[in-house]
Formats: sequence, structure tokens, C-alpha cells
Amino acid sequence: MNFSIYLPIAATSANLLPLLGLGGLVGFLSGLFGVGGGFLMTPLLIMFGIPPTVAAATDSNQIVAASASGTFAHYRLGNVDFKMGLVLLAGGILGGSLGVYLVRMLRSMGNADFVIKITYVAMLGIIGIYMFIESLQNLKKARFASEDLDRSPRKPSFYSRLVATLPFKVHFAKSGIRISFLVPVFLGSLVGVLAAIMGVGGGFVMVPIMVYLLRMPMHVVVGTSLFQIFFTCVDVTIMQAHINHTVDFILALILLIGSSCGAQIGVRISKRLKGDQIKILLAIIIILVMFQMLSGLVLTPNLLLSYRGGHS
Amino acid sequence: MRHSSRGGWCSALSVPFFFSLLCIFPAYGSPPPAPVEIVQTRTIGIDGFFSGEKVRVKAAVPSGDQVALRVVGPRENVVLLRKGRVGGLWMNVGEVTFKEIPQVYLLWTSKALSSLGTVDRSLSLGLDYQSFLSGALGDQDRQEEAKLVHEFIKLKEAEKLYGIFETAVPIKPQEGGTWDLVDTAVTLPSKISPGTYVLELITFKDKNAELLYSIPIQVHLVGIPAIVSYLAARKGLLYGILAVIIATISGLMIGIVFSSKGSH
Repeated sequence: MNFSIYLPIAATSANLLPLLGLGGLVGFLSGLFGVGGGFLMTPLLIMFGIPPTVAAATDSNQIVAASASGTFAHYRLGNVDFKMGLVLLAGGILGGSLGVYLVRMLRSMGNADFVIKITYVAMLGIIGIYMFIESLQNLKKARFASEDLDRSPRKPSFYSRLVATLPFKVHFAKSGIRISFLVPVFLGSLVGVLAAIMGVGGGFVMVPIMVYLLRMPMHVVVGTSLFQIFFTCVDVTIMQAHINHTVDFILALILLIGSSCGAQIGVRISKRLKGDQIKILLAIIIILVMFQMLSGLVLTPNLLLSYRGGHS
Repeated sequence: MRHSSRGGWCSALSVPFFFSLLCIFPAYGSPPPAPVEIVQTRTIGIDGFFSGEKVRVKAAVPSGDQVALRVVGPRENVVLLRKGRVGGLWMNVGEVTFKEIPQVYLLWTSKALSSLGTVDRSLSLGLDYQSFLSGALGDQDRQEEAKLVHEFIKLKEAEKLYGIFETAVPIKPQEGGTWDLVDTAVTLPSKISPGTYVLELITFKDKNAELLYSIPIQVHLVGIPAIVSYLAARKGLLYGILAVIIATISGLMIGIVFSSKGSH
């Protein structure tokens, strides 16, 4: 039986089944960890023969479905802090706009790709390793003390003391924190800048920031991150379709069927895991992505010429 | 051109899913034959299930001649990113532009390319890649150009848009010794874009080549791909909004289906 389907914007045909499987896998990660999955989907689509510009734009379109599906599932579990999500989103839009100008400046200075890639690899490495060690320690402690470590009192750090002095404090009931709204706006902007520079959604950076700097509970982090990713990808999809005409809706439709189902399974599994277990799994994936990027920088590529676009 | 002095010919052979583009039946020992007749439409429609297309070529060629078939796409400028080492790491270091090169170049020959001989002036292109890629980069030093051309060919061959397939065209000798029969199918890749392509049949005698026949093939989108492509190109904003709405509804619907199943 022929499962080939023609993708009119990508201008190529592809087999339906691997695309459904790919969507399912990425959606699963999305539902489990609250990341968009662009880091995985875009390079794999390019491997399937999809032009890089179409792969990146279409990926945003399918993430709209996966994040809507995941947000809905997390909402039903009471894991979405809409107030925090909207404040972070406002910061993200601000930072994203700033990041676009920063990219232009870096490119005019030359070697922008070098700076971007090195920063990305270093950041993934630091976040991944820190998250891995911290979660591992918490899991080890949990063996000896049955108390909930997520809620255990922490020794106030310099960062905590600094944040405590800031004005405009707001209570975020779902996250169970009271914090100056300037903090999430600033952190959201920071992720927006990084997302614009690196060309990815920023879920990888946003999730650790919510966990470690905003001190939100892990399950609420996943749901809130997906809520924010939904709006970011709606914006990117419309802009890409309007300006670059690179969204392949047929491809997105196939991927989103897989990813929406995968996201649901991811949410169900996340429900059964402890916060630190989710963190350690995410840390492993971040470290793997870091090594994959590093190998791409160190090993001689098969082809020394490539089409423009994509995340890499 | 040789088809004015030889020729002969013709009847249709329609095979399902195949296009009989050239149909040149032999007229053994007969006087100069009638002009070539094309028997079927040369239009390929890209529908929702398109995965490449086989084009059947059936032709009589003068006995003893070797044959090359090729499909050449419209010419275009191609801008590509070039990777290089910076501080020991591989990354994009600039752009290169290949000027006026065919989008598609597929060549099938009956013998090794090196043994076929030279091309004459009636052919717009030589047979090998170098004949049209040489000079496509403008002012470049020779060594650098050779390296970039090599990489470009690798990229295009990986996409199956360029290819040279030697000894891939069988020639069957016919009784009477005046004509041989070429009956083969060539495959156009799934990445082929809408546009006008040219299918050429070239014969070789004593290391001299002549274009025996050249016909255009129209490739165009039909059905859903045509509608989607039109919307994406002409109504980008509407297309983007529709894509987002459908994606959101689909995601929510799947969420509702899963949650209702989960509640049982």
C-alpha cells in the first residue's frame, strides 16, 4: 500500500507513517516536559527532505496543536498558571522584538552564527548539567526523607533576597508564589531575546527559569510553559505564512495529528512522575541535544553547502 | 538535425501510470520515414499522492548508434549557505550563488559517458555536469570552484534532482539491421517543481552526438496541492490564520477525545 503524500509547499512527497510517528514522539516530549520540541522536529524534518525554511515554519504550526492539546490536558489537571503565563508572554514578546534587532547587529558584525551556536551549546550544557545534578541530589535525599522536597524551606540566596526587595508584588495563586511582576517580565524578556537569537521557541530555557528562578512547582511549570508556547507559535505561524509563505499545512496536519495524541500521552505519564523525575529526564534530553549540537560543530559535515533556514 | 533525414514511424502504446512520450517505430529498409509523431499528452499533474512519475520512452534509433536520454529543468539562480571552519568549529561562513543553472538535470545513457563522444553545437548543453556548472559561480579561483561545484552536485544528487545514470538505457537490435529499439522508463523525482522541462533523445555515432528529438514536459499542481499552494502564495495571511485555527481546534478536539476516554 502506498502511503506517500505530496507536500505542496515543501514541494516533495513523503511517507505518511514516519511523519505521524515523528509527530507523536515530539508531542509526547511536549506533554511530558512542556517544551515545544522544535529542537528535535526541525532537524528530523530536514532529514526527511523538507527544505529548512519550510521545516521550521511548519513545525511552529504543528506546535500550535500540540501545545493546545497539552495545555488543555494540563488545565484539566489544574496545572496551568494563566496569570503567570500571560506576564511571561508579555516579557517574551518584548524580548523577542529586542532579540530580532540584536541578531541584525550580530550579523552586521560578522560571525553571528559562531556566537549564537557557542552560546547555545554553552547554555544547554550549563542548564542540563545543573538540572541533572540538582534533581539527582533531590531524588537521593528523598530516599532518606519522605517529605516533599519541592516545598521544603530553602536557605535564602542572594537572588532570593534581591527579588524580595523588588516592588509591585503580585500573588500567583496557582504557582503558590508572591513575587514582583517585574521578575517574570524580565525573565520572559530574557527568554524572548534568546529565542529570537537562536531561532527556537525557548521552552528549554523557560522551563528551568520557571523552576529555579521563579520557584514554581514542576507540574505547574510544564502546563504554564505549554500555554505560553501556544501563543508564541500562533504568532510565528501567522508571520511565516504571511511574510515567507513557508507553512506547509498538509505536512503540519499530519504532524499535528501525531503530536496532539503524543502530547496527551506525555501529560498522562507526567502525572505519574515526581517533579524531580521529570526534571532529571528533561536534563538528560537537554544534555543529549547539547552533545548533538556540539558534534555538528566539531565533526566534518557530509555536505558543505546547504539551503537557508531552519534552526541550525 | 538528424530526424529530418531519418525517422519513421509511429503508433501509440499506452501503459497505465506510464507516459509514452516518444514512439518511434522502425520501418526496416524503407525509404526516409515520416516525421515523428507524439502520441500522448506531455503533462504531469502533481496530485495529493504524487511520489514521482515514470515517463516511458519508446524510440527507434539508427542501428549501431548509442543513446542518451535527459531531462533538463528551467534555469535559475541558486543561493546556498557555505560551511567552513571558524575556531575549529563548523558553521555557516557565507553564501554562494550558482547562476543560471538547471533546476533538474537527469541523464541516462546506453554506454559509459566517457565512451560516447563529443556533443555538437545543436545541443544547448554538454552532457556532463561540468558543461553547465563550470563558470556558474562567476569569478572564483579554479580550485575553489571545483570544490564548490563538487559539493553542489552532492547536494542536488541527494535530492535526486541531478543524476547521471550510465549504461541505463537498453538498446534492442531489430531484424533487418536498419533500426534498433530503445524502450525504457525514466523516473522524475518527487521533488520536481511545477514548470516546463525538456526531454531530449540524443544519439551518438562514431563519437559524434546529435539531438534526435526534444519535447517539452509540463509539470503542474492539481487538486488539493494546487489549492493549498495558491492560498499560501496569494492569501498568505488568511492561510496562516486558517492554519492556526485548524491546528488549535484539532489539538483541542484530540484533547477532549483523550480526556473523555480517560474519564471512563
